[in-house]
Amino acid sequence: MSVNRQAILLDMYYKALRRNSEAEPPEGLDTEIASIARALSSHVKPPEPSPGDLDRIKANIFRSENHTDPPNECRCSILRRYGLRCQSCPTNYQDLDQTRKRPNLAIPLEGEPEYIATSQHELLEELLEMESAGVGSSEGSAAAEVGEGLPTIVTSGGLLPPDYY
Amino acid sequence: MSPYLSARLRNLRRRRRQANRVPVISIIIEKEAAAKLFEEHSSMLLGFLIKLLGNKPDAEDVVQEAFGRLMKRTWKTRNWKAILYRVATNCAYDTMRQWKSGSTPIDLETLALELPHPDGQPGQELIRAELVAELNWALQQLSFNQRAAVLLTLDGHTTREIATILKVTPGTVRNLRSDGHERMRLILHRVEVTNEC
Repeated sequence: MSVNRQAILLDMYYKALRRNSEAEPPEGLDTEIASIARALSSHVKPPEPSPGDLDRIKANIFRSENHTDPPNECRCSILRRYGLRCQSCPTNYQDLDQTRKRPNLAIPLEGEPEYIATSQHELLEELLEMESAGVGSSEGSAAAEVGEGLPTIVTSGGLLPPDYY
Repeated sequence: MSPYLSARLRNLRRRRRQANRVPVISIIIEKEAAAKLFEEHSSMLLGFLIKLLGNKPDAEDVVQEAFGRLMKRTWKTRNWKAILYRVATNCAYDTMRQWKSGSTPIDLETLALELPHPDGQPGQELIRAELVAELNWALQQLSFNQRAAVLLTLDGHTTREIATILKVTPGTVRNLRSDGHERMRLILHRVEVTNEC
């Protein structure tokens, strides 16, 4: 009899044993294999750990786990690039105040790219002024599209969605 | 219909169901969810790892490491139990690889003492203890994947769940389990012959 068939019959026998510990082995299953399966399922049970052990392990796990490492898909690096804080990763966020003096690169929408160093804070203030004045897309270091929400900045990194502010 | 054909038909239906499933997204397990997972499965997981590794201290370390790994990255899953067991099995494998050859810290006494003892005659109890010791010994002689497949089956996992945990196909799980039983039969035969001599 093929090994595959024995494997399937053994699978069926374990299913039957799960429902009824006194179940008969299916026809065709090797009797010695069946007796080993019956002995294993009736005698080899997983040991019951003491609650004290589990409490100790739990305390160790949740004491040592402080989420110091950023998760794989954390956008910290992207956010840091624009001097913004990461919501999901509190230990890695960068305060906006500390990054105000950091130069920010922006390119105009049209014409040759012109890299102008300006602070994040100044850029945001400029954009908010443009929004309040009802100015649409303009030439300069940054282009603002004034819509219903916050403005969208076009930078060398591409479009920044409004929720980054 | 023969059992073989019905099993194949079930497999085909399962594959079709899988193909129609909505893809899952990567998510990070929160601390509270991890604590809940620990409450629900840690007891069974620790029992499985004690059997798999053959000793308790290493099994406890593996549980701790598995939860640490689980919370440090994102996972694409609906079945957190299977992911937990998979991570723990991988950690156990890493632990076993660190053991020096010939010095595997298997504690058969711990394995035997942890077993439940139903009421019975003293003579029967002795025979049963011998049988359990032989079974445990034979289990420890299997390859890592064979032992994991057999122990997960004894813990009540389905073939499909074991396949997810070991990251193999259900067919491979059946073969691992069947090969494991075959090897155990040979080992137990050898033990019987040695006892008779």
